[in-house]
Amino acid sequence: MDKTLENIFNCFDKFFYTVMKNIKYDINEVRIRSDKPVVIYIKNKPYFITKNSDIIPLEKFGTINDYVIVTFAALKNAFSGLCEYSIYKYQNDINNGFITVRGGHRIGICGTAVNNTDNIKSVIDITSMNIRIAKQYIGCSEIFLKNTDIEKGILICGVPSTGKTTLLRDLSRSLSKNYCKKVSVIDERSEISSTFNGKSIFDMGLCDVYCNYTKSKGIIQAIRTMSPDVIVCDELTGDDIESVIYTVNYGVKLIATVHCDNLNSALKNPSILSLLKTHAFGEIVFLESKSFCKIDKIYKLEDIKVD
Amino acid sequence: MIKYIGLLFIFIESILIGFSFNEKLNNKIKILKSVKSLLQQFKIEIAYRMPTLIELFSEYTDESILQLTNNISENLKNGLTSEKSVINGVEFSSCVRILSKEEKYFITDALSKLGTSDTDGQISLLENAVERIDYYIENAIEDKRKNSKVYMTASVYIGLVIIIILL
Repeated sequence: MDKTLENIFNCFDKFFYTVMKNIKYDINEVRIRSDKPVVIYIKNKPYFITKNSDIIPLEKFGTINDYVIVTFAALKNAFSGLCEYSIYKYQNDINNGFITVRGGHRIGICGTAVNNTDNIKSVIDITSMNIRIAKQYIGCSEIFLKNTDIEKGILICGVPSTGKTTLLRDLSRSLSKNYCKKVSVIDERSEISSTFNGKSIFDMGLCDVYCNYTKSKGIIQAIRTMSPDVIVCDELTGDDIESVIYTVNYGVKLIATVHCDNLNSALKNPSILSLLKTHAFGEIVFLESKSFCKIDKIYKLEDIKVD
Repeated sequence: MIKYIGLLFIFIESILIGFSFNEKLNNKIKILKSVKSLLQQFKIEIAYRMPTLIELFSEYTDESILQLTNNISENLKNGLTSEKSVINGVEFSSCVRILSKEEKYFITDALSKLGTSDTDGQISLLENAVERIDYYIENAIEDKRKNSKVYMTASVYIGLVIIIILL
Protein backbone atom coordinates (compact mmCIF):
# COMPACT_ATOMS: atom_id res chain seq x y z
CA MET A 1 0.00 0.00 0.00
CA ASP A 2 1.07 3.54 -0.80
CA LYS A 3 2.90 5.18 2.13
CA THR A 4 0.61 8.22 2.06
CA LEU A 5 -2.43 5.95 2.34
CA GLU A 6 -0.81 4.07 5.21
CA ASN A 7 -0.37 7.41 6.97
CA ILE A 8 -4.09 8.11 6.57
CA PHE A 9 -5.23 4.75 7.94
CA ASN A 10 -2.65 4.98 10.70
CA CYS A 11 -4.61 7.92 12.13
CA PHE A 12 -7.42 5.48 12.94
CA ASP A 13 -7.11 2.65 15.45
CA LYS A 14 -4.66 -0.19 14.88
CA PHE A 15 -7.36 -2.71 13.97
CA PHE A 16 -8.74 -0.50 11.21
CA TYR A 17 -5.22 0.16 9.97
CA THR A 18 -4.43 -3.57 9.78
CA VAL A 19 -7.71 -4.39 8.02
CA MET A 20 -7.21 -1.65 5.43
CA LYS A 21 -3.58 -2.60 4.89
CA ASN A 22 -4.56 -6.17 4.10
CA ILE A 23 -7.06 -5.23 1.39
CA LYS A 24 -5.54 -6.30 -1.89
CA TYR A 25 -7.81 -4.34 -4.22
CA ASP A 26 -7.31 -0.96 -5.84
CA ILE A 27 -9.53 1.31 -3.74
CA ASN A 28 -11.00 4.54 -5.17
CA GLU A 29 -12.85 5.78 -2.15
CA VAL A 30 -13.31 4.97 1.52
CA ARG A 31 -16.49 6.14 3.24
CA ILE A 32 -16.41 6.17 7.00
CA ARG A 33 -19.49 7.00 9.02
CA SER A 34 -19.41 6.96 12.79
CA ASP A 35 -20.68 3.69 14.27
CA LYS A 36 -21.68 2.41 10.82
CA PRO A 37 -19.93 -0.16 8.61
CA VAL A 38 -17.11 1.27 6.51
CA VAL A 39 -17.78 1.24 2.76
CA ILE A 40 -15.04 1.15 0.15
CA TYR A 41 -15.37 1.78 -3.57
CA ILE A 42 -13.47 -0.39 -6.00
CA LYS A 43 -13.93 0.57 -9.67
CA ASN A 44 -16.76 2.82 -8.46
CA LYS A 45 -18.67 -0.10 -6.89
CA PRO A 46 -19.40 -0.08 -3.14
CA TYR A 47 -18.37 -2.86 -0.78
CA PHE A 48 -18.40 -3.49 2.96
CA ILE A 49 -15.22 -4.73 4.58
CA THR A 50 -15.22 -7.72 6.92
CA LYS A 51 -12.92 -7.96 9.91
CA ASN A 52 -10.73 -10.31 7.84
CA SER A 53 -10.22 -7.68 5.13
CA ASP A 54 -12.62 -9.44 2.74
CA ILE A 55 -15.00 -7.34 0.70
CA ILE A 56 -18.77 -7.94 0.48
CA PRO A 57 -21.06 -6.16 -2.02
CA LEU A 58 -23.51 -3.77 -0.39
CA GLU A 59 -26.56 -5.78 -1.45
CA LYS A 60 -25.29 -8.81 0.50
CA PHE A 61 -25.46 -7.04 3.84
CA GLY A 62 -25.37 -9.42 6.80
CA THR A 63 -25.29 -8.43 10.46
CA ILE A 64 -23.55 -5.20 11.42
CA ASN A 65 -21.07 -6.99 13.69
CA ASP A 66 -19.50 -8.78 10.73
CA TYR A 67 -18.12 -5.56 9.31
CA VAL A 68 -15.48 -3.03 10.19
CA ILE A 69 -16.93 -0.12 12.14
CA VAL A 70 -15.25 3.11 13.21
CA THR A 71 -16.62 4.66 16.39
CA PHE A 72 -17.41 8.35 16.83
CA ALA A 73 -14.48 8.78 19.23
CA ALA A 74 -12.08 7.04 16.84
CA LEU A 75 -13.30 9.23 13.99
CA LYS A 76 -12.75 12.34 16.09
CA ASN A 77 -9.20 11.28 16.98
CA ALA A 78 -8.48 10.30 13.41
CA PHE A 79 -9.64 13.68 12.18
CA SER A 80 -7.19 15.45 14.51
CA GLY A 81 -4.44 13.15 13.29
CA LEU A 82 -5.32 13.74 9.64
CA CYS A 83 -5.02 17.47 10.34
CA GLU A 84 -1.57 16.69 11.80
CA TYR A 85 -2.94 17.91 15.16
CA SER A 86 -2.81 21.39 13.66
CA ILE A 87 -6.39 22.43 12.98
CA TYR A 88 -5.28 26.02 12.27
CA LYS A 89 -3.40 24.84 9.19
CA TYR A 90 -6.51 23.22 7.69
CA GLN A 91 -9.17 25.61 9.02
CA ASN A 92 -10.09 27.19 5.66
CA ASP A 93 -10.38 23.79 4.01
CA ILE A 94 -12.37 22.41 6.96
CA ASN A 95 -14.82 25.29 6.59
CA ASN A 96 -15.17 24.34 2.92
CA GLY A 97 -15.93 20.75 3.89
CA PHE A 98 -12.75 18.89 3.10
CA ILE A 99 -9.05 18.61 3.75
CA THR A 100 -6.31 17.53 1.37
CA VAL A 101 -3.65 15.40 2.98
CA ARG A 102 -0.19 14.29 1.89
CA GLY A 103 -0.46 12.32 -1.31
CA GLY A 104 -3.14 14.65 -2.69
CA HIS A 105 -5.93 12.54 -1.20
CA ARG A 106 -9.00 14.62 -0.55
CA ILE A 107 -10.99 13.88 2.59
CA GLY A 108 -14.52 15.18 2.59
CA ILE A 109 -15.92 15.79 6.05
CA CYS A 110 -19.42 16.05 7.42
CA GLY A 111 -20.31 17.10 10.93
CA THR A 112 -21.79 19.99 12.85
CA ALA A 113 -21.04 23.47 11.54
CA VAL A 114 -20.28 26.35 13.89
CA ASN A 115 -21.57 29.47 12.20
CA ASN A 116 -20.86 33.13 12.73
CA THR A 117 -22.99 35.81 11.06
CA ASP A 118 -22.52 34.79 7.45
CA ASN A 119 -19.88 32.08 7.26
CA ILE A 120 -19.03 28.67 8.61
CA LYS A 121 -16.47 29.30 11.33
CA SER A 122 -15.62 25.73 12.09
CA VAL A 123 -16.86 22.15 11.80
CA ILE A 124 -17.02 20.02 14.92
CA ASP A 125 -18.27 16.53 15.80
CA ILE A 126 -17.27 14.92 12.53
CA THR A 127 -19.66 12.06 11.77
CA SER A 128 -18.72 11.10 8.22
CA MET A 129 -15.58 11.11 6.16
CA ASN A 130 -15.05 10.34 2.53
CA ILE A 131 -11.46 9.58 1.59
CA ARG A 132 -10.94 9.99 -2.14
CA ILE A 133 -7.71 8.36 -3.12
CA ALA A 134 -5.56 10.34 -5.54
CA LYS A 135 -3.65 8.41 -8.16
CA GLN A 136 -1.41 9.17 -11.03
CA TYR A 137 -2.05 7.33 -14.30
CA ILE A 138 0.85 8.29 -16.48
CA GLY A 139 -0.27 8.49 -20.09
CA CYS A 140 -4.00 8.71 -19.35
CA SER A 141 -4.14 12.04 -21.21
CA GLU A 142 -2.70 10.73 -24.50
CA ILE A 143 -6.06 10.00 -26.14
CA PHE A 144 -7.40 13.25 -24.77
CA LEU A 145 -4.55 15.24 -26.35
CA LYS A 146 -5.03 13.51 -29.71
CA ASN A 147 -8.71 14.40 -29.83
CA THR A 148 -8.60 17.97 -28.60
CA ASP A 149 -6.92 21.21 -29.56
CA ILE A 150 -5.07 22.70 -26.62
CA GLU A 151 -4.49 25.93 -28.53
CA LYS A 152 -8.20 26.72 -28.21
CA GLY A 153 -8.42 26.33 -24.45
CA ILE A 154 -10.35 23.45 -22.94
CA LEU A 155 -13.03 23.16 -20.30
CA ILE A 156 -13.29 19.62 -18.94
CA CYS A 157 -16.68 18.76 -17.50
CA GLY A 158 -17.62 15.70 -15.51
CA VAL A 159 -19.43 14.44 -12.46
CA PRO A 160 -17.36 13.55 -9.36
CA SER A 161 -15.05 10.52 -9.68
CA THR A 162 -14.74 10.68 -13.47
CA GLY A 163 -11.02 11.47 -13.25
CA LYS A 164 -10.99 15.21 -13.93
CA THR A 165 -8.12 15.94 -11.54
CA THR A 166 -6.21 12.81 -12.61
CA LEU A 167 -6.56 13.90 -16.23
CA LEU A 168 -5.38 17.44 -15.41
CA ARG A 169 -2.37 16.00 -13.59
CA ASP A 170 -1.31 13.95 -16.60
CA LEU A 171 -2.11 16.75 -19.05
CA SER A 172 0.18 19.09 -17.11
CA ARG A 173 2.95 16.53 -17.05
CA SER A 174 2.60 15.61 -20.69
CA LEU A 175 2.25 19.16 -22.06
CA SER A 176 5.27 20.40 -20.14
CA LYS A 177 7.47 17.38 -20.81
CA ASN A 178 6.42 15.88 -24.16
CA TYR A 179 5.03 18.98 -25.88
CA CYS A 180 7.60 21.43 -24.43
CA LYS A 181 4.91 23.88 -23.33
CA LYS A 182 5.42 26.32 -20.47
CA VAL A 183 2.72 25.09 -18.11
CA SER A 184 1.66 26.81 -14.90
CA VAL A 185 -0.51 24.74 -12.59
CA ILE A 186 -2.69 26.61 -10.11
CA ASP A 187 -3.08 24.02 -7.40
CA GLU A 188 -5.35 25.66 -4.87
CA ARG A 189 -5.71 22.64 -2.59
CA SER A 190 -2.49 20.86 -3.37
CA GLU A 191 -4.59 18.16 -5.02
CA ILE A 192 -3.13 18.16 -8.53
CA SER A 193 0.55 18.06 -7.61
CA SER A 194 0.34 17.06 -3.94
CA THR A 195 3.19 19.35 -3.02
CA PHE A 196 4.50 19.19 0.53
CA ASN A 197 7.62 20.95 1.73
CA GLY A 198 8.30 22.12 -1.80
CA LYS A 199 8.26 18.63 -3.32
CA SER A 200 5.54 17.16 -5.47
CA ILE A 201 4.60 13.55 -4.78
CA PHE A 202 3.39 13.10 -8.37
CA ASP A 203 5.44 13.47 -11.52
CA MET A 204 4.50 16.94 -12.72
CA GLY A 205 6.99 17.07 -15.58
CA LEU A 206 8.36 20.59 -16.04
CA CYS A 207 5.39 22.51 -14.67
CA ASP A 208 5.51 25.60 -12.51
CA VAL A 209 3.21 24.76 -9.63
CA TYR A 210 1.43 27.53 -7.72
CA CYS A 211 0.55 25.72 -4.55
CA ASN A 212 -2.22 26.92 -2.22
CA TYR A 213 -2.81 30.06 -4.32
CA THR A 214 -6.45 30.84 -4.92
CA LYS A 215 -7.26 30.21 -8.57
CA SER A 216 -7.92 33.86 -9.41
CA LYS A 217 -4.70 35.12 -7.75
CA GLY A 218 -2.64 32.23 -9.05
CA ILE A 219 -3.77 32.75 -12.66
CA ILE A 220 -2.94 36.47 -12.57
CA GLN A 221 0.43 35.90 -10.91
CA ALA A 222 1.35 33.15 -13.34
CA ILE A 223 0.58 35.38 -16.34
CA ARG A 224 2.53 38.29 -14.85
CA THR A 225 5.59 36.37 -13.76
CA MET A 226 6.01 33.01 -15.51
CA SER A 227 4.92 33.77 -19.11
CA PRO A 228 3.05 30.47 -19.45
CA ASP A 229 1.70 28.99 -22.69
CA VAL A 230 -0.92 27.05 -20.79
CA ILE A 231 -2.49 27.48 -17.35
CA VAL A 232 -4.06 24.45 -15.72
CA CYS A 233 -6.51 24.67 -12.84
CA ASP A 234 -9.14 22.52 -11.20
CA GLU A 235 -12.78 23.28 -10.44
CA LEU A 236 -13.31 26.79 -11.75
CA THR A 237 -16.30 28.72 -10.43
CA GLY A 238 -18.07 31.93 -11.34
CA ASP A 239 -15.83 33.77 -8.84
CA ASP A 240 -12.84 33.19 -11.13
CA ILE A 241 -14.34 34.99 -14.15
CA GLU A 242 -12.09 38.05 -13.94
CA SER A 243 -8.91 36.02 -13.95
CA VAL A 244 -10.25 33.87 -16.81
CA ILE A 245 -10.86 37.06 -18.84
CA TYR A 246 -7.29 38.05 -17.98
CA THR A 247 -5.98 34.85 -19.65
CA VAL A 248 -8.02 35.64 -22.80
CA ASN A 249 -6.60 39.17 -22.94
CA TYR A 250 -3.05 37.91 -22.62
CA GLY A 251 -3.45 35.05 -25.09
CA VAL A 252 -2.70 32.36 -22.54
CA LYS A 253 -4.53 29.06 -23.01
CA LEU A 254 -6.52 27.70 -20.13
CA ILE A 255 -7.32 24.09 -19.29
CA ALA A 256 -9.77 23.83 -16.43
CA THR A 257 -12.42 21.58 -14.99
CA VAL A 258 -15.97 22.10 -13.72
CA HIS A 259 -18.54 19.80 -12.14
CA CYS A 260 -21.22 19.12 -14.73
CA ASP A 261 -22.69 16.07 -16.44
CA ASN A 262 -23.98 17.27 -19.82
CA LEU A 263 -24.19 20.28 -22.11
CA ASN A 264 -27.77 21.15 -21.17
CA SER A 265 -26.99 21.38 -17.49
CA ALA A 266 -23.79 23.30 -18.30
CA LEU A 267 -25.74 25.90 -20.21
CA LYS A 268 -28.28 26.17 -17.40
CA ASN A 269 -25.54 26.69 -14.84
CA PRO A 270 -24.93 30.47 -14.58
CA SER A 271 -21.30 30.19 -13.51
CA ILE A 272 -20.38 27.71 -16.29
CA LEU A 273 -22.28 29.81 -18.79
CA SER A 274 -20.40 32.92 -17.72
CA LEU A 275 -17.10 31.01 -18.03
CA LEU A 276 -18.03 29.99 -21.59
CA LYS A 277 -19.00 33.55 -22.45
CA THR A 278 -15.43 34.69 -21.77
CA HIS A 279 -14.38 32.67 -24.88
CA ALA A 280 -11.43 31.30 -22.95
CA PHE A 281 -12.48 27.77 -23.86
CA GLY A 282 -12.74 26.80 -27.51
CA GLU A 283 -13.63 23.23 -26.68
CA ILE A 284 -15.83 21.73 -23.99
CA VAL A 285 -15.05 18.12 -23.18
CA PHE A 286 -17.46 15.93 -21.22
CA LEU A 287 -16.11 12.85 -19.48
CA GLU A 288 -17.99 9.58 -19.30
CA SER A 289 -19.82 9.34 -16.02
CA LYS A 290 -19.26 5.66 -15.25
CA SER A 291 -15.66 5.31 -16.33
CA PHE A 292 -12.38 7.00 -15.58
CA CYS A 293 -10.63 9.70 -17.67
CA LYS A 294 -12.62 8.73 -20.77
CA ILE A 295 -14.02 11.30 -23.18
CA ASP A 296 -17.77 11.15 -23.69
CA LYS A 297 -18.36 14.12 -25.99
CA ILE A 298 -16.43 17.11 -27.32
CA TYR A 299 -18.24 20.32 -28.23
CA LYS A 300 -16.75 23.30 -30.03
CA LEU A 301 -17.66 26.66 -28.58
CA GLU A 302 -18.71 28.03 -32.00
CA ASP A 303 -21.34 25.27 -32.22
CA ILE A 304 -22.92 26.29 -28.94
CA LYS A 305 -24.98 29.43 -28.52
CA VAL A 306 -23.62 31.04 -25.40
CA ASP A 307 -24.01 34.76 -26.16
CA MET B 1 46.84 15.67 58.31
CA ILE B 2 44.24 13.35 56.66
CA LYS B 3 41.68 14.60 59.17
CA TYR B 4 42.24 18.22 58.05
CA ILE B 5 42.05 17.27 54.38
CA GLY B 6 38.78 15.44 55.12
CA LEU B 7 37.39 18.48 56.91
CA LEU B 8 38.40 20.73 54.02
CA PHE B 9 36.69 18.29 51.63
CA ILE B 10 33.47 18.42 53.74
CA PHE B 11 33.61 22.22 53.75
CA ILE B 12 34.04 22.38 49.97
CA GLU B 13 31.28 19.79 49.49
CA SER B 14 28.92 21.86 51.64
CA ILE B 15 29.67 24.99 49.59
CA LEU B 16 29.11 23.01 46.37
CA ILE B 17 25.71 21.87 47.62
CA GLY B 18 24.80 25.51 48.27
CA PHE B 19 26.12 26.40 44.86
CA SER B 20 24.06 23.68 43.16
CA PHE B 21 20.88 24.91 44.89
CA ASN B 22 21.74 28.38 43.62
CA GLU B 23 22.29 26.99 40.11
CA LYS B 24 18.86 25.35 40.22
CA LEU B 25 17.30 28.76 40.76
CA ASN B 26 19.23 30.12 37.77
CA ASN B 27 18.26 27.15 35.59
CA LYS B 28 14.63 27.51 36.51
CA ILE B 29 14.64 31.10 35.23
CA LYS B 30 16.50 30.00 32.11
CA ILE B 31 13.98 27.24 31.35
CA LEU B 32 10.97 29.45 31.94
CA LYS B 33 12.49 32.08 29.66
CA SER B 34 13.10 29.43 27.01
CA VAL B 35 9.47 28.32 27.23
CA LYS B 36 8.43 31.96 26.86
CA SER B 37 10.59 32.34 23.79
CA LEU B 38 9.12 29.09 22.40
CA LEU B 39 5.60 30.43 22.88
CA GLN B 40 6.53 33.71 21.18
CA GLN B 41 8.19 31.93 18.28
CA PHE B 42 5.21 29.60 17.85
CA LYS B 43 2.93 32.62 17.75
CA ILE B 44 4.95 34.24 14.95
CA GLU B 45 5.31 31.00 13.01
CA ILE B 46 1.61 30.11 13.22
CA ALA B 47 0.59 33.61 12.14
CA TYR B 48 3.04 33.75 9.25
CA ARG B 49 3.86 30.24 8.00
CA MET B 50 1.26 27.96 9.57
CA PRO B 51 3.54 24.95 10.04
CA THR B 52 2.21 21.80 11.68
CA LEU B 53 2.84 21.12 15.38
CA ILE B 54 5.43 18.48 14.48
CA GLU B 55 7.34 21.02 12.42
CA LEU B 56 7.04 23.65 15.15
CA PHE B 57 8.42 21.41 17.87
CA SER B 58 11.14 19.81 15.79
CA GLU B 59 12.38 23.15 14.47
CA TYR B 60 12.76 24.67 17.94
CA THR B 61 16.38 24.16 18.94
CA ASP B 62 16.92 26.03 22.22
CA GLU B 63 19.35 23.82 24.17
CA SER B 64 17.73 24.29 27.58
CA ILE B 65 14.40 22.71 26.57
CA LEU B 66 15.59 20.70 23.59
CA GLN B 67 14.75 17.42 25.28
CA LEU B 68 11.18 18.59 25.92
CA THR B 69 10.58 19.77 22.33
CA ASN B 70 12.21 16.63 20.91
CA ASN B 71 10.07 14.38 23.11
CA ILE B 72 6.88 16.14 22.10
CA SER B 73 7.69 16.08 18.38
CA GLU B 74 8.63 12.39 18.59
CA ASN B 75 5.36 11.60 20.39
CA LEU B 76 3.41 13.46 17.71
CA LYS B 77 5.28 11.61 14.98
CA ASN B 78 4.37 8.35 16.69
CA GLY B 79 0.70 9.21 16.39
CA LEU B 80 -0.06 10.33 19.95
CA THR B 81 -2.65 13.11 20.23
CA SER B 82 -1.26 16.59 20.91
CA GLU B 83 -2.52 16.47 24.50
CA LYS B 84 -0.95 13.08 25.25
CA SER B 85 2.26 14.08 23.46
CA VAL B 86 2.65 17.14 25.65
CA ILE B 87 1.72 15.40 28.92
CA ASN B 88 4.11 12.56 28.13
CA GLY B 89 6.80 14.97 26.92
CA VAL B 90 6.70 17.07 30.09
CA GLU B 91 6.65 13.98 32.30
CA PHE B 92 9.69 12.37 30.72
CA SER B 93 11.88 15.43 30.14
CA SER B 94 14.55 15.80 32.79
CA CYS B 95 15.08 19.45 31.79
CA VAL B 96 11.76 20.50 33.32
CA ARG B 97 12.13 18.38 36.45
CA ILE B 98 13.36 21.36 38.49
CA LEU B 99 10.13 23.24 37.84
CA SER B 100 7.37 23.24 40.43
CA LYS B 101 4.18 21.22 39.95
CA GLU B 102 2.28 24.41 39.19
CA GLU B 103 4.79 25.54 36.57
CA LYS B 104 4.75 22.12 34.90
CA TYR B 105 0.96 22.15 34.90
CA PHE B 106 1.00 25.57 33.27
CA ILE B 107 3.37 24.41 30.51
CA THR B 108 1.35 21.23 29.91
CA ASP B 109 -1.89 23.19 29.82
CA ALA B 110 -0.57 25.85 27.41
CA LEU B 111 1.13 23.44 25.01
CA SER B 112 -1.58 20.78 24.94
CA LYS B 113 -4.12 23.28 23.63
CA LEU B 114 -1.97 23.94 20.59
CA GLY B 115 -3.40 22.79 17.29
CA THR B 116 -6.98 22.60 18.52
CA SER B 117 -8.39 25.79 17.03
CA ASP B 118 -8.05 28.22 14.13
CA THR B 119 -5.16 30.69 13.71
CA ASP B 120 -6.84 33.51 15.65
CA GLY B 121 -7.61 31.12 18.49
CA GLN B 122 -4.03 29.85 18.55
CA ILE B 123 -2.58 33.36 18.58
CA SER B 124 -4.75 34.52 21.48
CA LEU B 125 -3.96 31.29 23.32
CA LEU B 126 -0.23 31.90 22.89
CA GLU B 127 -0.50 35.59 23.83
CA ASN B 128 -2.33 34.60 26.96
CA ALA B 129 0.27 31.95 27.78
CA VAL B 130 3.10 34.47 27.31
CA GLU B 131 1.40 36.83 29.77
CA ARG B 132 0.96 34.02 32.27
CA ILE B 133 4.51 32.79 31.99
CA ASP B 134 5.78 36.28 32.80
CA TYR B 135 4.22 35.82 36.23
CA TYR B 136 6.16 32.57 36.77
CA ILE B 137 9.39 34.15 35.52
CA GLU B 138 8.97 37.11 37.91
CA ASN B 139 8.32 34.69 40.76
CA ALA B 140 11.42 32.68 39.87
CA ILE B 141 13.57 35.85 39.73
CA GLU B 142 12.17 36.98 43.08
CA ASP B 143 12.76 33.51 44.50
CA LYS B 144 16.36 33.65 43.30
CA ARG B 145 16.88 37.13 44.74
CA LYS B 146 15.57 36.02 48.11
CA ASN B 147 17.09 32.56 48.38
CA SER B 148 20.34 32.74 46.46
CA LYS B 149 22.27 34.42 49.30
CA VAL B 150 20.50 32.27 51.88
CA TYR B 151 21.65 29.05 50.17
CA MET B 152 25.25 30.23 49.83
CA THR B 153 25.50 31.56 53.41
CA ALA B 154 23.75 28.52 54.85
CA SER B 155 26.07 26.17 52.98
CA VAL B 156 29.15 27.99 54.37
CA TYR B 157 27.73 27.97 57.93
CA ILE B 158 26.66 24.34 57.74
CA GLY B 159 30.14 23.44 56.48
CA LEU B 160 31.74 25.35 59.35
CA VAL B 161 29.40 23.83 61.94
CA ILE B 162 30.20 20.31 60.71
CA ILE B 163 33.95 21.13 60.90
CA ILE B 164 33.60 22.51 64.47
CA ILE B 165 31.62 19.47 65.56
CA LEU B 166 34.18 17.09 64.07
CA LEU B 167 37.11 19.00 65.58
